[in-house]
Amino acid sequence: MEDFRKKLERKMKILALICCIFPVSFISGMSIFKLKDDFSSGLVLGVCISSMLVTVYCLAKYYSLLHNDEKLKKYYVEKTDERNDAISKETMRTSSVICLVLTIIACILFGFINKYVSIALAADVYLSAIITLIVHNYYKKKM
Amino acid sequence: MKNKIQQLRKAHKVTQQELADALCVTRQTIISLENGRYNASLTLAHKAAQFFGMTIEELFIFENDENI
Repeated sequence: MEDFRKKLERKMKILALICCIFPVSFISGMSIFKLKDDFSSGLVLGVCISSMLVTVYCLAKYYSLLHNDEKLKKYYVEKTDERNDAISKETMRTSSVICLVLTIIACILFGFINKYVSIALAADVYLSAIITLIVHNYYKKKM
Repeated sequence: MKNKIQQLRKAHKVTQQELADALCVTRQTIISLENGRYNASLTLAHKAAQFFGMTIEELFIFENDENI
């Protein structure tokens, strides 16, 4: 439990650092690259604002957990519960297989409509396959 | 894999929440274990067996094809 508390405190420090870095990097990035395209600047702004909101939410959540032992214990049990862990692993596995199959189907279908989209989807499939192989080899060596 | 968790819990007059707290898992995990929808890990099986003062083999019923 104490280890978990320390882990949360460490996470809070990292999140606070992110909270400070994000606005600074966004403002400096916007002024250096001078994004004129509305879509790209809107995209960057959206990503930054949503990331900041998630960071602030997590900070508030961890702060309240660290100041309430009962809530912290409940959160600890939820986080370390082996069934929850098994559910999240199974969810990740099933959803990644579904996404892969759908991307392959979309890649084939877009071959008849737009070749650039089809190539981008094929690149996504190959990249996913390469990442899966790398991660698989990592865990093969680790376990 | 079947188990005797529900009958032992009732015999010991322990609620699902109390058992969950003792084993450091959620109540949902206890419900799934009792219904046989989820198989416990070796660590959880050991904790549960210790809680009821018995061995893992006495608490969990291994069927022949599961041992292979």
